[in-house]
Amino acid sequence: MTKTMSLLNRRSLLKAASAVFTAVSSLDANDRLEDSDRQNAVNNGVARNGQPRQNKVAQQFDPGNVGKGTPFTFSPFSVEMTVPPEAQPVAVGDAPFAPGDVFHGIAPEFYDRSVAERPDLQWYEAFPTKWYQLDTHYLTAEIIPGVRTPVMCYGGSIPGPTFRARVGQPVVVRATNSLNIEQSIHLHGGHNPAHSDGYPNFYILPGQQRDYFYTNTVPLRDGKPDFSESPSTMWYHDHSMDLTANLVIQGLTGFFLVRDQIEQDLIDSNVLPDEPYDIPVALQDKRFNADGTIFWDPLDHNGTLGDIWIANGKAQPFFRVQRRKYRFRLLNGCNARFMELRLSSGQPFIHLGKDTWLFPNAIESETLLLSMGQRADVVIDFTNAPSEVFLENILCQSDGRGPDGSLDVPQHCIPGAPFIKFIVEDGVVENDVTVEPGTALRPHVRINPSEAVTTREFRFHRTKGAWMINGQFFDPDRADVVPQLGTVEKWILKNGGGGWWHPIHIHLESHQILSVNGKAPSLSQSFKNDTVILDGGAEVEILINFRTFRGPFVFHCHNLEHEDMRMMFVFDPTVGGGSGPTVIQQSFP
Amino acid sequence: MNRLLLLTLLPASMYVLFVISVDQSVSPQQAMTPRELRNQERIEKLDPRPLPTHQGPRVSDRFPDILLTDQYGKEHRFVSDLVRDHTVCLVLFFTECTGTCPGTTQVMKRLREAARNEFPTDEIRFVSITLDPDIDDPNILLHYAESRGLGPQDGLADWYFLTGEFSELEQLRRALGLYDLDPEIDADRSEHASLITFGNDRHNRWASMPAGLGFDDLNETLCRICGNSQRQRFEMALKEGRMVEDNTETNDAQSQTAGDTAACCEEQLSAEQFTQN
Ligand SMILES: [Cu+2]
Repeated sequence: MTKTMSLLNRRSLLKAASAVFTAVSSLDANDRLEDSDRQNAVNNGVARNGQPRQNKVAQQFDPGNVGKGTPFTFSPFSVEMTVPPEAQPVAVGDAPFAPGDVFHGIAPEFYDRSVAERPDLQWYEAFPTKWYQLDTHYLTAEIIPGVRTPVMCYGGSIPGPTFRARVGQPVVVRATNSLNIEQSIHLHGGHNPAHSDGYPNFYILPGQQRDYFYTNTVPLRDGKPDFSESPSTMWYHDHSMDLTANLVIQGLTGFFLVRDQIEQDLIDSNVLPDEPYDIPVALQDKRFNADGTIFWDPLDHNGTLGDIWIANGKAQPFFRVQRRKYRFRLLNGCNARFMELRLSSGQPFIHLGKDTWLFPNAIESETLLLSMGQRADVVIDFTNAPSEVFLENILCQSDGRGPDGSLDVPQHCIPGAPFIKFIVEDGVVENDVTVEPGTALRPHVRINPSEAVTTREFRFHRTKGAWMINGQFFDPDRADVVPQLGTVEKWILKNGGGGWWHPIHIHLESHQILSVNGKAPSLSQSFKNDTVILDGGAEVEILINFRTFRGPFVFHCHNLEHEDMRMMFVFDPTVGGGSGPTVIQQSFP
Repeated sequence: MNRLLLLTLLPASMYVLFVISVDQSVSPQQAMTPRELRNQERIEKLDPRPLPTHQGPRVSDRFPDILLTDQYGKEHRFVSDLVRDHTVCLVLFFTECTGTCPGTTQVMKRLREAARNEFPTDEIRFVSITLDPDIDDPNILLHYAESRGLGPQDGLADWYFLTGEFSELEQLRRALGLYDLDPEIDADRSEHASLITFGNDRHNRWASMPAGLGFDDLNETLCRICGNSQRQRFEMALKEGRMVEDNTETNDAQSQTAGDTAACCEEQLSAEQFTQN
């Protein structure tokens, strides 16, 4: 063991001891794709298929690089989509290494598992700790068939290895940075100590290591674990200071899937599919340079759009499926592109959950609206599907401002941009699963608006080319708001206008949407969310708890170019609560 | 928070002296809290040696190599003479700008002074490019610079005030990402004078930051994005390391509940300052 343990760690050791989306109505049989249309869409992408554009002016000048697309052509659907490998623990139970004995240490909570808001209570824990090692390094990938592309990767693949664990099963990941650039890993949707939450300057510096402590716990409600908060579909990605957009687009994403006993019972009783019929899929758009590298411009602050449609690190792959139900965890892993997904066959999705959490009951969704960072947990039933089914994005988007049209009246580009071609194979299938719209999945605990002890307003706006929240820029040392642990707050999120869409991602806790522009949220948005879309001029009211862990944590726009330009705020829950702005209570750079 | 105090005590160039003085047990360490000592120990583990030069295409390959004229009438190609293999701290401005430009210029002036301890004088360049070439000829730029104390000074990096041909300047502005998708906003030149672009071409690291962020954060960002060694890039971040327990040692516990804005937040310009024209 190297002698790099910092005093910080020594001290810790001593203590040780959518959606049913509105767009549906505008789709009809004429929108279903013809083959020639599809080829056209493949070649031209969403934004160039002849649909009337909204009144946007990006084409009036060439801001650096717009208009120069990826200079490669390829035959779509010629390679098979890969499923990311499952991360293999190096040990389960006893620690295989000294926790925290690395440059960036481990969370103090690793040695003190009392709940910060109720030190008389421990958080929920039921399974032995899983220990992992994860190396971030460079790799040459083949995203476009025949084109060699240098990328960054977690653990040797893009997306990185899929972590699987049980709710109540702590995970420690010893993460090594073998890049020559600083990184910080955020487990999106997780309820974890601040040290391990990917706070922008809680780095893994080049050549160094950090022990990430993922509790996989659920918060307590009335002193008991609240399993309605059990995470299911999380993803991990880079969150480093000012560089997130670059590191994510270069490849740093992966899945982290967790099951509680309720979900396990649904799988064991053949209601939900198990592996290998439970497949995470990261959907991304990227643009490529002539030398095969991924295009990214550090001086584009609007949001980077790509013109190649990528699923699990492959440009427009095919995927062979049987005539049965499959569960897909669909992630919008783009920097700045919103998506509305549909199946070319016209059949709806059996929608199990939004973002990190399962719904109380499965619902039927014709299309899935996903902002950057959002996930849709769906089942697709291929039993009676045509022999080819395409998963495609039908939302038009011309620039980083957001989709053309509005949230209420989205502008569709038909035919859509196909991400995946499912090849449906014939043959007898056994052990198919029983889930259908309406199937009960789990209890849901609502937050009562009367529980809120404070109401806060946050305005997200553009000012002189820069991105602000309440007239401030992100400062990692400054706690903007200091909620009290164990309380509920009401937050009003306002879009400052200019036609810019901002998907707002709040760390640490799920939030419950009370209203969107004064109206009740759509069904799929009305349970638990970790990212909420603020379309141009929108006003969204949410309720949010603050539990278990002291801050600092961030909330921010998940347009990664906006985030990097400091469209981010710090909330720093403390035991006593307080008022900001003030200095953050702890910092683990 | 003792960030400014620490910066005064421990500029990067003084680490050698600092280590020697420890050896002689003159011990500025006695003035340091356990937290500061802990952070200092980690900083010293970071490699102070220069990092290798970036291989492969660079962001600056996409910039137009336009001809610019400085405040002394001397001509420079933007990429080949100013940016290539150098570090730049760049802003767009115009001399008649009375809104954010004076504040931006002032914070650039402080960055230039701080850069004295961080970057070789001949490596970093401060660059102000006019948005209004019809008015801002070299004489006016020279007067602007001299009347504000921004001229050549021993030990300080060069500061170029540049003008050029309008259409070429517009091309450069867009390549630098300093434009707005809304044509009405884009047509207002005061909209483009509030972002500072930091770039180290040798390491191919670039970022733009709002000038309103304030000196401390801008200086930290400049050193992190453009720094030539791991230690230079991250020492300021590591100085901020703190645990909850530290707060009782340094009275920050009170600031947690009392909302001590002076500790962290006075440096950032107010929204009013930042948004006025
Ligand atoms: Cu945004």
